[in-house]
Amino acid sequence: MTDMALIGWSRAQFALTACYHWVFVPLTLGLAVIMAVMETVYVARGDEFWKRTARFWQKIFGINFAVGIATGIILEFEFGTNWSNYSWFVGDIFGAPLAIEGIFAFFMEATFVAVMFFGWNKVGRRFHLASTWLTGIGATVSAFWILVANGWMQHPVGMEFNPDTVRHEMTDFWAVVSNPVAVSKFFHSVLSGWMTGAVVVIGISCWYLLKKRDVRFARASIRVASAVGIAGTLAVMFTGDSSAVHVAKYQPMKLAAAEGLLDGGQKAPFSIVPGVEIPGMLSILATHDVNGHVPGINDLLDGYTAPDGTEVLSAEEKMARGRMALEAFRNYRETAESDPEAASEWRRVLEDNVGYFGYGYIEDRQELVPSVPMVYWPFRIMVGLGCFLLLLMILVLWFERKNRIERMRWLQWTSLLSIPLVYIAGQAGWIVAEVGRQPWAIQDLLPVNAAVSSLDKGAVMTTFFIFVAVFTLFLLIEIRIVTRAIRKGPEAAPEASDAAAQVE
Amino acid sequence: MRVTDRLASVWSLYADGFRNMIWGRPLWILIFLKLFILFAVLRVFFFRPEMSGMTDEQKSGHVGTQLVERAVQDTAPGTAHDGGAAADDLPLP
Repeated sequence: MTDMALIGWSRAQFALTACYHWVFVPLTLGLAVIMAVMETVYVARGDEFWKRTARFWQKIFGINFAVGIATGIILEFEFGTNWSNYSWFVGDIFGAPLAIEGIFAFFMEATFVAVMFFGWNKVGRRFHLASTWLTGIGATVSAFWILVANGWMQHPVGMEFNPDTVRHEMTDFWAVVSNPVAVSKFFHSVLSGWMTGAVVVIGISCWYLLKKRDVRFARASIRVASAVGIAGTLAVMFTGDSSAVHVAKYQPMKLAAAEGLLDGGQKAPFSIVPGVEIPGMLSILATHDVNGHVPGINDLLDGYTAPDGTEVLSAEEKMARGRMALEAFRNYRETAESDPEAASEWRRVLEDNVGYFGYGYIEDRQELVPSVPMVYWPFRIMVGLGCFLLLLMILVLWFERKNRIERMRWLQWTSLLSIPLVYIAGQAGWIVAEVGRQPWAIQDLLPVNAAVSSLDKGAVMTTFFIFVAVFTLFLLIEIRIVTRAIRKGPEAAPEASDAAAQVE
Repeated sequence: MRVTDRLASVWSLYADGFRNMIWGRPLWILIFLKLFILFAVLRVFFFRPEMSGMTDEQKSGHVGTQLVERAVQDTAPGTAHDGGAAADDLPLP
């Protein structure tokens, strides 16, 4: 029996590190697009104002990049130390995308980030512009490989289990790469990064408007950021829709928990908040059909027959098959050398039930239900804030185009104060995705109680608190450096500097 | 342009870039400090992979044993739960 406190602390540490990493990643992805658009305008028009604008946001990008760099490496440390069973069990399926990501990220970012920061007066405008775009593309492609790995954990495909090595072996690289869960997760996450970048740029620009300084710069930044942000948010909604369909298909318990849906059926309602429902809406979101069948938590535990006649096994039946798989695995290992004939038979039993392998670790079927409030409320926070921020960006762009943004202090304050909201929305999204798939480290194949290493929980607690201290320190440093950079503002125009020099 | 000239210009891009940094210098200090904490402190003292030093065969054996030992030992699956877990007891919102 694995120590529940050890599992809890290991999960808490991983969650802390992942959440901290996700503070930096979305801003990198979003700012990369915004500053590249600004530089494109500079190259197209030759107006030095746009160069100064792009350079200022590059500076913010650089600070965020520097503080955020390597925070993802800690996750890889944790795989090897805290989740060693998992790391071995997934085999190269998980390692391959992460290795590609590491190599790709290193070479692209080391090359093009350097050209972007150091090359303004060293390389041609077009080459510099290409480097700026490639920096953003490199970060986006890196995110793709990470999300391929994450998508595989949510919906494992393209592999088979080898009981001799106790590892999963990749049989179809394309199936892993084109995993529908990974693809929709990639677009959903990356585009939410555009939204983050846009809200941060708009918020900071509104601070300049509140201070009545660098007005042209602020308004130009607002125009670009709100256009990128609105496009990104609409695309986030579209990809969220395809994500919901995939969750309904591959992780129905996550969807049922996110809706607090005990008993499902056709014309399933969507819960806005407890007690307020839209009839049939959940069926539309999950199946694109108002009559679509959406199973509830009880249906998934008790088993049910889908409208197309498919029999979905009860939790007990899956647990029985899981135990059969584990029993066959144990016997196969014991007989592999001494009795090849018996081993072959055990291997066949294992292969027949391997899809339920992880259920062999489930003692009580309630373990198969994630914490409903921990999934239900973050989902509503994510969607609610997403809608609010979309409305905010539309308003900001509208009033900017009408030349009224400078007078609307309430909108400037709202935009500034909305900066934390976009981060809360992003973190809430990850909570839905990751808490919602509990108890699974790998869906149906390995629960967290089998994935965790046999460690002393005190050691995990110690590193947890070290991370809290280190992460808080680095976050405070970033906020301080960014605040100083914002106060300093964009570079002054040459004529403005001359005028300032004359005054002095 | 010859290869050596190209390499020289790449070198000067980095060298001049680092030399002329103003706001970027504290960031580089921050990056190196962080990498030091990560690799020289946390990695060395706190995050030693559980199976480091083992051969692949030993790792397979170790994880295989762990997976078998952690399996639920109940030989009559489901019987402990025949009362039906009450999803109604879940803390629904």
